Amino acid sequence: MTNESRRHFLQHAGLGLGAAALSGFVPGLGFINAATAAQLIDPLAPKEPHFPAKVKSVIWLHQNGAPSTLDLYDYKPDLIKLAGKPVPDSFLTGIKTSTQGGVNTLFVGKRSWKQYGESGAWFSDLLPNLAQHADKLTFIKSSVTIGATHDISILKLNTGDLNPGRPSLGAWISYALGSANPDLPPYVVMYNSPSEPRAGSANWNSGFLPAVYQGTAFRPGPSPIYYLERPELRTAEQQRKSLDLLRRLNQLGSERYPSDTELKARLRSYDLADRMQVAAPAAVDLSNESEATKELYGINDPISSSYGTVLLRARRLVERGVRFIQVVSGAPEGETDIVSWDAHDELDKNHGLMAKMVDKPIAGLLHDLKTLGLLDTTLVVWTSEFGRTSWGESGTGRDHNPWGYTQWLAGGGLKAGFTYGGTDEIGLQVADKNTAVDTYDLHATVLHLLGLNHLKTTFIHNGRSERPTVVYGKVVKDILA
Amino acid sequence: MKKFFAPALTVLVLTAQVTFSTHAAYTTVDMDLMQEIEEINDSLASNIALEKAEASLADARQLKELFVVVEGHYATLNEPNAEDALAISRDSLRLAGSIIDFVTQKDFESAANSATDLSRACRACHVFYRED
Repeated sequence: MTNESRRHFLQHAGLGLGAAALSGFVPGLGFINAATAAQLIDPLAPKEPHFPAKVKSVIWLHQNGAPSTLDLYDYKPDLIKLAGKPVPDSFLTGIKTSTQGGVNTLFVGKRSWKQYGESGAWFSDLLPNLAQHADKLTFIKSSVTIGATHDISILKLNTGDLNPGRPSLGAWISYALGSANPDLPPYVVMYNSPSEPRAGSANWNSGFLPAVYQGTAFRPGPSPIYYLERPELRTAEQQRKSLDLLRRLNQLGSERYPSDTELKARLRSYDLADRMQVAAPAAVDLSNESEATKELYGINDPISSSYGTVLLRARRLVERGVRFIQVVSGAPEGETDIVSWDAHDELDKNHGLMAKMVDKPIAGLLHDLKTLGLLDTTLVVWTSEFGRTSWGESGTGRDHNPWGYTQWLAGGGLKAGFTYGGTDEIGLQVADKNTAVDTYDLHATVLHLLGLNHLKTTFIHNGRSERPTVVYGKVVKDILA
Repeated sequence: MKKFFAPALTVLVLTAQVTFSTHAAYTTVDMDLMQEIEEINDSLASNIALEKAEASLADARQLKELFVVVEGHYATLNEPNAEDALAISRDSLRLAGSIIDFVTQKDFESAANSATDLSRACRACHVFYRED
């Protein structure tokens, strides 16, 4: 074949390549199976999990800044008894501390505690609404991680590595399962802060996976997707013709540079953007939601309004088949003094506000999902980059604690009203290191509930097989129903 | 035949010496040893996932040799938590051996689980001894 005839073939086979792929034969690659052919045409085509899934969607509630679970879920009478005293040496064995000014005396805030539900789970007075759903929750009270600073630990929480470059959990899920709704991204990120969360888009990046699997950020406010609406000066027909031309040009470019996944992602993003013009506004438009529902999510309260809006949007995205919804907590609208849970000082004031921001919305989400029959097929995860220390900082706050803290899950496939693991008597370190649940283990468990074996969810990168859990990860089987 | 044999033997001896030297050079637990273990461990996880038996066995055998050095180090160390580190290094040796057995039987699923346990063992030890 001459260069002239080869060029002619490629130019004219541009749209025919897809048809050839459907037939199972791809020039240069030979015969491929139908699944691979479909993926060449559409990398987000739905894919079967490794085994039957318990859930279809995940709502990942990242509590940005790291709340003190010692002031929310972990009732420690011994900590209360020892408040104001130095930390006994026995509790500091095996950990390296880095609190500015050194390890301070043990600290307690102005909390009262009660048990709720048949499970008898402990909640502080900061979460009165969420406490009513105690029997829906599966606590992991032996969570651990590494890293003592937010940016790197947030990266580890989302991607499994302290350094940027690895795909986020949502990207792996998009890669492994594809999209359940061709009109919406399978992986959406939302936050209720005026700017991107700390450490930014590295936390929803696709890393070494093709770019098409990265998260799509829906911004706060009435228009979550910039420039989605067609300008009034342009007719629908004009837009259609422009997009058709753009698609053709991008396809030609894609054929010339077949390994350019950025171009493929852009091609797909324009197609998706075209369909999202209709689908996305409908997904995030809350005008048809009843006042009762808005009240349920705390949208009528200025403190919880922005977070409640995000969670109600998350529910609507679940209804529309979005696989992974990563919600990053911000701060109440207009609040500039307290911007996250990171209470190195004035913890009572900080958590008083932040808990009020999330308590009713999260309780509302759980109630709503249950009422709509969606809770059994949805996984809700309360997670944070680490916890907070038992000793005080600045006299009124707590420092970062990666050695033992609480996270919880709720939804399909779990033992509801159950607690796994625990910390020592003062809530500092995991009591039994055999029950320690690292971020990789949480990822492995989330993937398992989606029907994915983390050891078999792999991608070849630079000749090496990579997986979401790096070289770690163990499903926490004790919390599975 | 002689023309081929002598150079081939030379190459063989030199290779053996280099291989032996590479691991014989690690007589103590230091950052170089730990990084070597980490890199081989990463390679092992990948080779098991790709079901490359020969490469997996080579990695697992190398790890086993290196964990012998680690075990020897903590067996003679008189420091707090040395017993914990010794127990972990012995567990690591056992896991490396299990991986070799599983890969030999072509049971890559069990090998992958053992490799994950091995990585966790490394991590557990770092709680006591890793210098950040």
